[in-house]
Amino acid sequence: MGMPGPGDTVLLAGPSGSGKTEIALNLALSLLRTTSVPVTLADLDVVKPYFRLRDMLPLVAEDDRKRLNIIEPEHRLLHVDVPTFPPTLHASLSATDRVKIVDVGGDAIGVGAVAQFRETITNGRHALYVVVNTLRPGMNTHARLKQMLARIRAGARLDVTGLVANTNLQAETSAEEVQAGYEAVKALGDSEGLPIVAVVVSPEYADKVIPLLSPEAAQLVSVLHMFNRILDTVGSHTEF
Amino acid sequence: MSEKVLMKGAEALAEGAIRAGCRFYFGYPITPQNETPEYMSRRLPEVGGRFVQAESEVASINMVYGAACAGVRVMTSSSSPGISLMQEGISYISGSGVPCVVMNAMRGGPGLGNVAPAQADYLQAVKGGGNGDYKRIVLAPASIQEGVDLFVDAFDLADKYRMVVMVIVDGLIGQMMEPVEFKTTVDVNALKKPDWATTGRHGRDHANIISSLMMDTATLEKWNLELQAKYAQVAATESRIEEYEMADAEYAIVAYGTMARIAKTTVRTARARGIKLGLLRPITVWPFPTKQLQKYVGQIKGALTVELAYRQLFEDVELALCGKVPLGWYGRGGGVVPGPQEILAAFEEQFGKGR
Repeated sequence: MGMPGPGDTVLLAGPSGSGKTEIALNLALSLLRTTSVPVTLADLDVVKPYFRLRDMLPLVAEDDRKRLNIIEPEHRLLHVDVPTFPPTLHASLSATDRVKIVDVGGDAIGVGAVAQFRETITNGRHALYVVVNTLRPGMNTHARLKQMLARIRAGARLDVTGLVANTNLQAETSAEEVQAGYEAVKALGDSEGLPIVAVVVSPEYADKVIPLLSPEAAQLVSVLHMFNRILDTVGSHTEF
Repeated sequence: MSEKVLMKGAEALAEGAIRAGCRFYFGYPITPQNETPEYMSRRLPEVGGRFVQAESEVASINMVYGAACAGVRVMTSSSSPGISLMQEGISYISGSGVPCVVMNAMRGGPGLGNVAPAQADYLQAVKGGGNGDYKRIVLAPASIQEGVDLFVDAFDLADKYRMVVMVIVDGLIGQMMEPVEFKTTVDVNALKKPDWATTGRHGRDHANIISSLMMDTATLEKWNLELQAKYAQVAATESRIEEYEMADAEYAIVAYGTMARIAKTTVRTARARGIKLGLLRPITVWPFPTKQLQKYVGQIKGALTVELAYRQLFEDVELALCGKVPLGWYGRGGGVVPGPQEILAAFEEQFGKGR
């Protein structure tokens, strides 16, 4: 898709815990910083009891905040253990004057939730990226990665645009692991006819990792800030 | 390359239990530990185990009771209100002297409360809960890795003493993600089949009968005395603690689980300011590491108990230190988790600048 513009929808899917929310948040913040386009960030992941996008608002400069519209379950409904979407979701996904970034739920069941908005999404330009961390359990073989992708494709009923290699062990990540993750995701992409659109690294280890990556992997690197480290920021102000 | 994977606490603890030989899991979903049964439902069939989603927590714990009587490694998990519902079964299992593991991802209470992290089930876990004179061994990991490692000990201790072992975490450990390594894999086929298990007579001259019902008073008192002797042995040999920056400490924070982890940051901040603060972190909260705490009588000028509850852990600290060390307390409830600076502020308010 290239740089998303007004009316475009970017969907992030992937297995549970692969980093979809982090990447959605980074993408939204980066669009706000580098362009003048208004951004809608929709959290459709209903299985995430301790993390809310709204808590990340202080990270957005005040001026940019006016251009950001966050859509997520109401706080009073967040913990009722009933998957709910806000009533404004359909209208928000139809908007033609904003970039819409959608963080969909984990695996096939989570991604199935967006299938109901399929027509709205496919009315405009859209891209569906599958985020993969090969150091999550059950993601360590080619066969398992293929199964995962097949489940997500079937659940979303949308074409997958590309893959995001997000292999990491948080601060303990090594260059070998990022490279091996890239290669595993590349092999998956090659067998499925899908490009890798990004190799994600965190600033915590970017400097020591990037110089050791192969040139193909290095040219795809995006350095993303990871926000969901609850123990780093915890305090009585934190709402769960 | 390491053998580590990135896991959510509730999943990692489930895998840790499976590596420790758990092959049977019965449970009922409740936030914030739903990833545990979800993970078990997928993984147990792969390793030849069985997963059943019961119709309630009461049913779950009684299924655990049944499997425990058959001498297999079995567990359940839940969160606070669900654990309350299981208390009758836990008492029956304890009264029957069969082993099992129960995990509680504690959330805000009382009642339904909320799904935020808490430690308010401490007294229920270490002192009471169900009826009768019984004890559980209660393990309180502070990280996902420690939880995974402790699950091996949890099943070993349960088998060794034929007791219920509880693993208590708060919702934060269940929900956070960390790299984790599975260092031990127990070969379940190599585990000795207990001779008391009710799995058929197999030519034995007696039938194995497991029950917590003993109508004869003398028989029941004798059984109670056996249990008490066992608990005394556990209390004398199985308590564990982590002592952090205690060698030259003039003050100590006493905290367990996630709260201890946050308090470690407080200790580092305090030391940077010249306050000689250390941390005493019970790893077993029953048996409570009383002797390990008493070692510091005479060395420390004060101990601040920090917990996500109202003076529950504090009771045990008070009993251990028996008025020999000035005590302070700081706790939050309802799912509010204080940060390291807030703990330090509470310390300075109660003990001055600690210099």
